[in-house]
Amino acid sequence: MRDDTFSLDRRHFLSAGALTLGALTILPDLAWAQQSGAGEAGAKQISRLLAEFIAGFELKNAPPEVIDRARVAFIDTMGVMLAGSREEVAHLAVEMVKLEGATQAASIVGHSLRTSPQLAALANGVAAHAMDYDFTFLSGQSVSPVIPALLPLAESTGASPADCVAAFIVGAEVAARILRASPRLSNDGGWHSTGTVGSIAAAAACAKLMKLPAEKIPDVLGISVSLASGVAVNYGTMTKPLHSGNAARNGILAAQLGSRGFTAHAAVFEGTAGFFKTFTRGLSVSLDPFKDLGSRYDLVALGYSLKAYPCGGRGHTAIEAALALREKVGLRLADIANVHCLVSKSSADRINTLWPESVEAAKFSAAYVIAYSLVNGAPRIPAFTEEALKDERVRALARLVTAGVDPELSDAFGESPAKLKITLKGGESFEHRRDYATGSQKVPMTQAQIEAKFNDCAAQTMNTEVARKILATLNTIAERRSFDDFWTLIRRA
Amino acid sequence: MTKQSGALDRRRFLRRSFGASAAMLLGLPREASAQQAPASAAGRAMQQADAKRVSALIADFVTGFDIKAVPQPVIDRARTVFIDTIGVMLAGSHEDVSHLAVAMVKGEASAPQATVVGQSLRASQQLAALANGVASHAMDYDFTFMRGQAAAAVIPAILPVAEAAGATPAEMIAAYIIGAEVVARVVRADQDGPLFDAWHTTGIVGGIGAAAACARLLKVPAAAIPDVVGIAASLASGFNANFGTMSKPLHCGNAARNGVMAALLGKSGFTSNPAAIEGRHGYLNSIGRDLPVSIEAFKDLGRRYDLVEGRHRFKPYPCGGLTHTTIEAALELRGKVGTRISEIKSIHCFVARSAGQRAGTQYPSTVEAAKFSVGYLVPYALIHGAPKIAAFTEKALQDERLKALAVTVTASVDPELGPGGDDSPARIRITLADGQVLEQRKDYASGSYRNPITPAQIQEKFLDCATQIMSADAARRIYAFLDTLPAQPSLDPLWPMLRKG
Repeated sequence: MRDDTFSLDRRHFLSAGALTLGALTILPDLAWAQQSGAGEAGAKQISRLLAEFIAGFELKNAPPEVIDRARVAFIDTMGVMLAGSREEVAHLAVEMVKLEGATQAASIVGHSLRTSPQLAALANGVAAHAMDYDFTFLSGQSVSPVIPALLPLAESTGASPADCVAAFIVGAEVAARILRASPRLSNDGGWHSTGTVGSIAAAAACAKLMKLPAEKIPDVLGISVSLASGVAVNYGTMTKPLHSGNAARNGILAAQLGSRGFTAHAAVFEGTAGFFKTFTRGLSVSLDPFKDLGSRYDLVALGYSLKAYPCGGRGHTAIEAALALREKVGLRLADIANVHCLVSKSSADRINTLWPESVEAAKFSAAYVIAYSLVNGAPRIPAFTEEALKDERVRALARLVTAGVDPELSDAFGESPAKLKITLKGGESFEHRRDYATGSQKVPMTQAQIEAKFNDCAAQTMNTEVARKILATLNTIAERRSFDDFWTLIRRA
Repeated sequence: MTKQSGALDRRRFLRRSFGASAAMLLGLPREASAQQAPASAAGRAMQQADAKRVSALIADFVTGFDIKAVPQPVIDRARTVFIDTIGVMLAGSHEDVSHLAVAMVKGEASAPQATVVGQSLRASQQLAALANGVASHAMDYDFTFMRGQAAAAVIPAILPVAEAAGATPAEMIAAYIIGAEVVARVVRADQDGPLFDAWHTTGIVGGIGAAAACARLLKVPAAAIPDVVGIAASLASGFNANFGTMSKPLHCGNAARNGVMAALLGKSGFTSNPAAIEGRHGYLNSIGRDLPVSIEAFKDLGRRYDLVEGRHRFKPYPCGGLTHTTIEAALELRGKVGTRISEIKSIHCFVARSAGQRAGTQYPSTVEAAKFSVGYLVPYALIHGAPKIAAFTEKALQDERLKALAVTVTASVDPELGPGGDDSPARIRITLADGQVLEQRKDYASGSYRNPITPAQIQEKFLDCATQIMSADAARRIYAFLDTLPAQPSLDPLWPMLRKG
């Protein structure tokens, strides 16, 4: 038997919130009173600001560029999910989901198994981040879990494609505010933004898709903050994509619980005990970014970077410098004496010049990706297979790659410039500098490049005819009233 | 088709690269990575104790643990914690927060692998663990261990796993001891320090202990246990901002579920970083950025049992733990006041600083607030005696005699009583109409390690809890089974007793 009065009770207790305990007591030194974050210029609590934005957002009022960004995000994310669904980590996640034996309400992208929306979100999230091929927004892949969570929720609730677009925009804008408020959360704080910020972003998006009223949303957000997790030490292991899957599942769980009256604290973000202070202990935090919610769209103002190659993002400019020099070197590959790669300081932390012993290591080896690019052209999915690593021509050339840090190359936000110098045995040399990689804000991918990446990804798991239909749906996602047979297309027969 | 080579790949990649940064991997100049050197204390601690990683120490402990070598007091403590935890789980399963969690679990319609305690529903191991965890922490009436209720998620997680695996009572007890001891070691990385200050240990630590316990029950091989530990570390969450809301018990449920999931994934070959606990940008380093930690505590795993040597407390009253000394001071004064309740002119409570941060004096308008209000608890204890579950109902709050007495209650923080903590000393001064002053100070509430709970109190608490949802006969049968748990041949009779109808 549900005891509704008790539920009201707690809520009542809570809505009086921080103040209740303070007001109840005559005792000094009140931790709760200090915590009442509303203290900052009598401002509204952040979760209430977010709730108003989430509940009030309407797609018809959003600038067309914002909607177009969302469309491309759906195409890109669907592509990397389809390709990622073939990865070992995704298979292990699906095996675990199968054990749960849950209700068959939603599709898992790239698999035949149907399961509950929460568990489909988990499997989808793992697949989306499995290859680290998903797009970067601000400083990380913080919105990676949003689309993986939205799709199964839409399938089970019958929400429309346009609803999904609105929900995605909301989730991305919320993520952007949290990241702008605490820019050092992941690089210095050690928290993987995909798992931490991603949980909150997914919850915000799911609350929107479920059309929850503004007064329920602080609970949803508060629950998601309590579930937010993921430490950076697990980069390079299967647990990194699990952060995305877990965050996607958390988003649905939080929205489902919050919609039914499950409570959380409305002051969960601010104050001495709040999310920012707790997760970024001692690091700089500013709550100002929350003020421009709804009046500015970070999806356009800051934009995101699509990854053109399925390997470490810091190596992309070096790859493109190599592709440019490839034309100059032409057939004289055997004459190369040295390939010297100069990168920025921060890029140097993420890439190396060792010959990779594994597919995973190949993604972070500048020696491998540069040599591969010179020999074979742009590295796409087939470049990162056991098979490709056996190529003696690439291996021989990789031995000639050296690297260093060039202090002139700035570590500006989201850039990782590279200079490449190829010296031939005869002494002749060619140089190329690349400041921005394809897919970055400055060099956006063309529609043709976006579709080529999608097709390359989808081909890992389906025929071109099905891939074409999926692409057609996603290209018109913001105008569609129904998903029609979309769910059968994204599953494996 | 799965790609085994891919799995091996990642694993191999990791073994080479964990804890390392650019410096080790790269042919790049040193200065490029000099700034990467572990500036953090966690990083330094790791280097000092380089002999063995935390996850390897845990793996040795989980796989090498032999219950036959465990001292009897540890087994007795474990048995008592099972009684206490299952009791509060049964009572908590009736709380609204549990109904909401179970409604969600029902929606998942998962495979009926295990009992959800206090419900008729059966669910997957993970979801049963989640619902059990929420129920056991729902009333905040569960076992306090090391720092807060740090091990609260362990039993909720192992019950369904033991049921699904057909484990024996001895195996289940072994799993609990393992889980609790691992939790204790994580807490001891910074037991009284600021590391865990903002975090709810039930959530942030509990999942790691639950994972270790489940790894034992699932017979995860030693080589995969570091993966289990690393996955659990990455799923750990829960901080204090949500105290006083339903999300607090959710921390326990989520930690219990994560423990099961981490063990299942790790067993299947899912990888994580073996340095996840102590490494740079690892668990300890991230939750307490740059704070000093020690991983020495992990070295006495198997040699010392924090279940008997560490701080712990069984809660005798279902309300804020920091109010318990005040309640017991009032219970002692009750004998002195006798029938002169109506002659009380004033009641002043002196409390320690930490209690001052949580407790209030005003008469509560809700059941939840009553649990932290000395303005309610002291009059209740004086008039009715020890507050049990029945004290925290809408009906109990309507009592006019309590309201009248509450008006006379005031409180202040007394610096002489210290900062407070798991033990929070308190003093009450009652002034009667004729000017007589009665005083009582209480330093340790019953249930603490200084003032241990008696078997009779444990039984009384269990029966009070269990009878919230079942007959006294049914409650006594469960108690009899749990009280002899180590000697029981099988767990089979337990599961139907824990289900509803």
